[in-house]
Amino acid sequence: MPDIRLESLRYVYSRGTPFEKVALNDVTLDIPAGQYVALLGHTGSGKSTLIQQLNGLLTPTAGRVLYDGEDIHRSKEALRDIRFRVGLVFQYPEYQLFEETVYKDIAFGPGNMRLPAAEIEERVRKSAHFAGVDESLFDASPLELSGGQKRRIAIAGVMAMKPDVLVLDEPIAGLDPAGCRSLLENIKRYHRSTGCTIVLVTHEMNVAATEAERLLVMRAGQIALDGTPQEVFSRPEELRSMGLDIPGAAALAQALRQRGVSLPESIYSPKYLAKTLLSRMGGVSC
Amino acid sequence: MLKDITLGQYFPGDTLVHRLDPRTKLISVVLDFIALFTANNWLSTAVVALTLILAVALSRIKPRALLKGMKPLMFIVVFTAVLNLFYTEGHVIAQFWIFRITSEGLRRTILMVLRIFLLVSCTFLLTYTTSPLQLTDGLEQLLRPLKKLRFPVHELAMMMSIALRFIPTLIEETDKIMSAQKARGADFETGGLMRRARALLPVLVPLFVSALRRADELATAMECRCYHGGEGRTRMKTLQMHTADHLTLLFWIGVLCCVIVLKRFGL
Repeated sequence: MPDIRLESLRYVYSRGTPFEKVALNDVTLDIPAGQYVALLGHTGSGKSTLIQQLNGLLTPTAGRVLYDGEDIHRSKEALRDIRFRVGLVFQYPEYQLFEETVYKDIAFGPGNMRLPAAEIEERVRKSAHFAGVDESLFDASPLELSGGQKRRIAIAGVMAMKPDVLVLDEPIAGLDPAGCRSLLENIKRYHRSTGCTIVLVTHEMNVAATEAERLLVMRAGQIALDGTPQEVFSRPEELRSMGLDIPGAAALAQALRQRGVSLPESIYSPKYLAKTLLSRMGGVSC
Repeated sequence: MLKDITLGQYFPGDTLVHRLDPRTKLISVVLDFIALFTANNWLSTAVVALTLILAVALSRIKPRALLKGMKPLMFIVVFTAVLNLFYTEGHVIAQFWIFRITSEGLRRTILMVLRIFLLVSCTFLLTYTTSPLQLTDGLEQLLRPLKKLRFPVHELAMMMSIALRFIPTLIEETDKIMSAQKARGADFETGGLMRRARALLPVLVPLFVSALRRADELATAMECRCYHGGEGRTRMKTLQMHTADHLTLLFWIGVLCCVIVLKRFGL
């Protein structure tokens, strides 16, 4: 599976008007195939602009987007092709459903790829399974279902294109805790079984800490921090200065450290914190 | 793309033109229209043009923004120009194939194009310097006498401000839905007319659903704040005419008189 590379990417909104705004400022970035990346940042830091560059929905003002070593804007055909290879699930995707039935809506993407009917059906079933959409809903109208179900259908609709890269913009925003957990599990399962690259945009530090293997933190159109969760969360001051928080476990560990409990800097997941604390207390097993 | 539509857009600012009472500006636009349609020769058109240039300069709106707004109207301008250029009788100054250009035609074309341009710039200047809210407020006040004839002035003004308020929202929403469907491989650019019309379905359905949902939510929100129509409704900001407003109106009346006199003497 191919890698993505952004080269000194720059993007300016409404150029030449009083509303001109630099959304991306010289971003250079490599996303190797198969990585699970979380993209973090304050509102307006350029996250959404960045992910729309990944599948060519926006054309860079300067710089290049390389997919598998080739510029995605080299031709119209290449650009259309990249849409199927980099699947983008927008924020609140439940508002984009339009077909009469759930099945047809999930089949919209693969249908645009002009695949044979049998292949489409197989993809719809598989992606519905991955996204947690029950097959009994296939004949229902997507407009009559609950918000959480609609979102799963929308995600299934993108998964059905079998993209090499799946980009999700705030997929858990507005879901209840149980819905959040199961959706994240579904995404992880999809990641493991297909080996595709995942880019997850989120505000939730706890989610980023437990789900992703690499964190990218954006500030004012630039990548401010880039590293493993351990590396990024060991710099709480910087994160706070960007209007972001550290995960609950990391905050607790920090507070304990300030009170004199010696804990390593690298704690950010609840599991690891619990383990360390228990061993500190004399190896009580749970 | 869709975001580049400047029609009806407001550029915030704090200039003399921005501060004028919306009623003054509305009346000025009407006076300007009358003056433009009265003006039929170089000098009188020039007077109106100069007044408008003065207004644009005072408003600090970039001329480029005005020109950009003209773009969608280019077709009408060119169409009018061609019609006037080739179909006016008079003294022939150039001729080729079946086309004849007369000096009268040339004169009329230039005046006509200038007139359209001034008309449009004037309305753009109004919407660029007046927020939609002020604009509908002004309109409501100006139309108030019609209330006696049971004309629903307040309701109309409210509908207008809601419509204006939601134009950018809906444009943004359309943009978003189009991007989302493009991300699923929807193709809006190729194919014949029928194909393209059908390709819009994935955009129109979600757009209508969300517009209806928004309308519903807005109605609930308005009711929660005890909205019950215009009867007995007071305002936080009542419109007030100041010296500048009176002077502006006097000035425009002066311009109009000037144009009428110039026309009378055929200068």
